[in-house]
Amino acid sequence: MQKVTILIAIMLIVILLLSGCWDRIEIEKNAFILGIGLDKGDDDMLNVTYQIALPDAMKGGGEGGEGDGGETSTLNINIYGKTLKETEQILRANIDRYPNYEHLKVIVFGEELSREGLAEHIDFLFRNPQSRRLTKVVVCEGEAKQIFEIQPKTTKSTAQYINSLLEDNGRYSIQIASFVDLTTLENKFLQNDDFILAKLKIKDDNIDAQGAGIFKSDRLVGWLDSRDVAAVKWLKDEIEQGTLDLSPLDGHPYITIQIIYNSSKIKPIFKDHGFIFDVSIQLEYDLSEVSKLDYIVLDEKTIGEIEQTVINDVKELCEQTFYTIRDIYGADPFAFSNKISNYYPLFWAENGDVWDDYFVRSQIAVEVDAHLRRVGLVK
Amino acid sequence: MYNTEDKLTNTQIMFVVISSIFGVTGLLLPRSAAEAAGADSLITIPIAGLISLIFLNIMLKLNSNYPDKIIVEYVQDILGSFLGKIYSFAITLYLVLVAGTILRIFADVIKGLMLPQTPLEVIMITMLFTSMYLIMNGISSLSKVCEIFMPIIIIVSLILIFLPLKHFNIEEFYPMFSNGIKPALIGIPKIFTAFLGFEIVAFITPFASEDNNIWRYSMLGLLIPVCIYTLLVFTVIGIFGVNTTSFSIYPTLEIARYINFPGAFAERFDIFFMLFWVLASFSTLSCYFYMSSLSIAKLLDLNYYRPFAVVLAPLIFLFGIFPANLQKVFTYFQYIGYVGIGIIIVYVIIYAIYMIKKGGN
Repeated sequence: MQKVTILIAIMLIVILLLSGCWDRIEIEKNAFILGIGLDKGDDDMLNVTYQIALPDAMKGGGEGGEGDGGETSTLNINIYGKTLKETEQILRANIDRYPNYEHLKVIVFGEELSREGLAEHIDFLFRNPQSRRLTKVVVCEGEAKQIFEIQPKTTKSTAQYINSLLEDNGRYSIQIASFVDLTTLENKFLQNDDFILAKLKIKDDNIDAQGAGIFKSDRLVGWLDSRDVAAVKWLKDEIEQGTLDLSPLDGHPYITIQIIYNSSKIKPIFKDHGFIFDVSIQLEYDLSEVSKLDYIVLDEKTIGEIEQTVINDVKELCEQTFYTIRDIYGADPFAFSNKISNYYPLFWAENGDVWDDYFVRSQIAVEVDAHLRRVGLVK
Repeated sequence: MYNTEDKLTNTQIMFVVISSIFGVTGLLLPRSAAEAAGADSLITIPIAGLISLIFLNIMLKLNSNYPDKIIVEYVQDILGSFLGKIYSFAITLYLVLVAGTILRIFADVIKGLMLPQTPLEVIMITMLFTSMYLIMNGISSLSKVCEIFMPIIIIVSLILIFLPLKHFNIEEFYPMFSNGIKPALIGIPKIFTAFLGFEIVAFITPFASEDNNIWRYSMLGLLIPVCIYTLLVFTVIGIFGVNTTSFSIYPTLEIARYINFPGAFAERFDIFFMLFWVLASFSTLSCYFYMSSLSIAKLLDLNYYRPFAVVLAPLIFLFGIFPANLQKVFTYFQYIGYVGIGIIIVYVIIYAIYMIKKGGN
């Protein structure tokens, strides 16, 4: 009898404990934020665009969707506020779900806000335990709000579209800047480094990710076009695979090459109170297009000519981009300052604060080693 | 005197030693290493590990002379009853404090990252009760739990170390030793505290039978965490750089969040990692809880430690709940670590006294 009483008592206590879990949020009660767009609002306010996934519409599966595109699969909510946390609070008043950052793919900064600086607005995302470290950060021409209004035809949401543009295509195109994620950005802010962010722009109702925005400290100072992005990638030793149009050979047709391998070594040399960065670039490439059908490429002399053209072109492109960025923006997105602190720690300890003065006097000496490997299926 | 059923196998000895070292500190170590020695911590950690191996060796030597006694008992033989009791009391207090801090850090991490609405006390009490239930069943249950959990935890930690290696950049370590070897050496005490926990060998000797190779397996038990910690700090600093690593509160968790595995499986690797980290903290807490209950029982010349587990539980909880904020928790943890170093150093002195006495006879 006593045993039964104890058993019933235990069961009652268990019932009390089962009544609920403090942190339970049903999956359908979450508002999964896929993208955040930050624009400058009036009087020091932020204009934040949240792109929120509607799980029911997402469920349809990426491939099958019978032409209904992604029209109802996301919801864009636009909120004014002073900080990201404040706008999140206001978001709670605008949607009957809990904001959830676990699937945040991209953060897009509007042009006007970027010109005033990013660092002060983004701390929330470093601090928030929900946000993912691999969230990509990009900058856009015009307003970020408009970017999210574009409905891509191939993917369910704008944020996922941008994400795969940068992640998948960025690897095979030298026109798209390598993406910067939150961790990299945090690192740049902590070291007060300059950097480039991939640039988005609206072109014919579609998103175009060519080119990049160049940031000095945390402020946008200018844009780079797609050829400059390639040069920055070479100078930073980032992996890139993509095509490059060569300048025409003497009396010969236009040639396009496909880069299959690249690697750069950068070494600073201190000389005459300034630095020379010794850059040696190694390239391997295939020939992918010649604009004249009866032109025979597979010939010792022609191959030599092409290789020489590639070497000259790459060298010229790198030097031109470096001196443009150095002279016009005074920015160092090549992370050359890190090279100095690595190779000349004593110099850096003394002169790190005035590195900008040294940087504008720095020069580069580019050396290219390029090899043509294959020419495709015809001669 | 000790229950004969409570006999440990060789591997159990190894895993008990691993689990008492390898726990909550794994989450914080890259930060404290980056703060203490920057990029030079790459050699500071192996050096600190080597020093702890030497201390472990000394401890094992002294233990082997008292095969059926734990540290609290034989210290009284060497130092005399009064001094021995004071030292034993210090050990007990230290163990209770460590258990409290481990419990608090565990609960703070879980609350901050996963269960923001759940009261801290509830997380702590749940963990403490589970741990108490385990140690009430004696060393055999504890060692079996360690034996089951630890291999999985080690494998997950290795996955955590090797998966993000594609982001690795060796230049983050440059320039090494730019200010000479001194900064690397100054960081040693701070990093050494991460390896504390090997004291457990002084509590489990009576449970090891004569055919156990306790020396080899406990050395191995210390060597494994030393290797994992070295690799971990190497990876984290190589990926994040010194600045970001010391800026981040839980850098190991950040590395777990930085993993992008092709396919959906490891998209949330951090959750997967936290799951096993909970197991690791549980076994560490249980080891310290067990040591403190056993040592307080022996301090009072009693054979049964089980009632003391019940007495100590609220004490551990109170020590855990006492610090007002996370910053204080970390400060206390560091100070308690230094107390641990003090205890180890006194232990070496005790060993010297023992040798002199033995020589005199």
